[in-house]
Amino acid sequence: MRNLIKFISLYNYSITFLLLVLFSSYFLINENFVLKTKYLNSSNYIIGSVFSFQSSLKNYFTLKEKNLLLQNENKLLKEKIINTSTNSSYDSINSLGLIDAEVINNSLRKTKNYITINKGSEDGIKEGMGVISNSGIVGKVKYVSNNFSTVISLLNTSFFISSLIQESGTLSSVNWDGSDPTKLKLLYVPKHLSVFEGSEIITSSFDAIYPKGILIGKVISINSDVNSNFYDIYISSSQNFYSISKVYVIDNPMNEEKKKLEKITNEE
Amino acid sequence: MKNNIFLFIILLFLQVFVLNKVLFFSYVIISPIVMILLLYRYQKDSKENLIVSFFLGLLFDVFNDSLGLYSLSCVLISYFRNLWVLKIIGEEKTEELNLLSINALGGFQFFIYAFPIIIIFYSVLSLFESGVFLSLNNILFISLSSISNYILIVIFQYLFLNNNLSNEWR
Repeated sequence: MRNLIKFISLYNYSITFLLLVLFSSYFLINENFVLKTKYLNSSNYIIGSVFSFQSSLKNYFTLKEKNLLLQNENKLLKEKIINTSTNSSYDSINSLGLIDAEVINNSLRKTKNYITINKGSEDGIKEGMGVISNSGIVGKVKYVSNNFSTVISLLNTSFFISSLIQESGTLSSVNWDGSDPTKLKLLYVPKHLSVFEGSEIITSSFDAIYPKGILIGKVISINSDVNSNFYDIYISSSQNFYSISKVYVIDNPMNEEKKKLEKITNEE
Repeated sequence: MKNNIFLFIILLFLQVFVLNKVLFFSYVIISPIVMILLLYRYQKDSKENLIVSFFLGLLFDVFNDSLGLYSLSCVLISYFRNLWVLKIIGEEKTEELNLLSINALGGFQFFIYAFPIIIIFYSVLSLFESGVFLSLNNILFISLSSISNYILIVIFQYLFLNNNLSNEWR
């Protein structure tokens, strides 16, 4: 025992260093760490309030831009109302609830980017809900506090969306490769299918987070790697993440039911 | 002491609200956190320094939604700084110095002291952020960010750390 105490007092600096490195590594590696998911992120009350204050200051100086944005949004919504009667792809959206929210913090320069919004569990937001804007897909809710939520941005290399090529109905997946924030990668499109530049990529609804038919982007380049069975396709994101301010969180009541059913099926 | 707290809050706000959102020329990230750690008072084998670095990193992590990344980087560079200062400056000289600044060490020795620490900081950041270490993009990011940050630290010292303030920085 005496030797142990002697050892600790002799190497206390190195032991402190190792302990702190272990703590930090644990924080970094463990995605489901309770402190991380509940308090140590930008959806906590204090940090959320600071970002909210910053956002309100910024909003005051960008009122003119916001007005223009709202005018455009109104115009698009009117167009959607007109289209709803003729376009069946919007039927699924109508049965969903939308919770509107303001973006109060948005990161762009990392490979795993997050967005903080000013609505939380008190407004009905739950983890795993989809987030869209007027222009397209934004991300998925990751952490929720009472008044704020953190959203995994589409510009996050670990985020994948189930998608369709609108013209052919080919099932694929969309992911960001971490380089250009305006370009996304379309994955798993087999080479025997024909894809064209300009084709629209929409959500497939297979993940039950987003309804079918929401625009993700348009194909801008198609390359065929000889060593792969799939195309190397880049799409331009329909959402401009540099100017994102207003978003809608999708409350899909069928999501829970679908998850439960899939869980039972997988267990059997 | 008041000046230090005021400067720290300014640097924190600058990092969180401005610099965290900006990527200069596609490769350059400016992080005043390295400057705070480089200019923080030096004590040989100080557990306090390690713990301060850890919590400073943690504070930036919470604002940045990157829990663990900055705290790990800060602890690593704080540990390396302890060894590096003893190696290049020596124990006796560090006891005489209030602050390991460009004024106290001289231009060349400050470069030898600060630059490797900045490189280590950005290397750890790029390794854990991208998951890849040796790629052209990462090498460009590490080198350009380190050079820009070093220049910023030198400018900061000439602008803000005049003699009166540097005595109070401790």
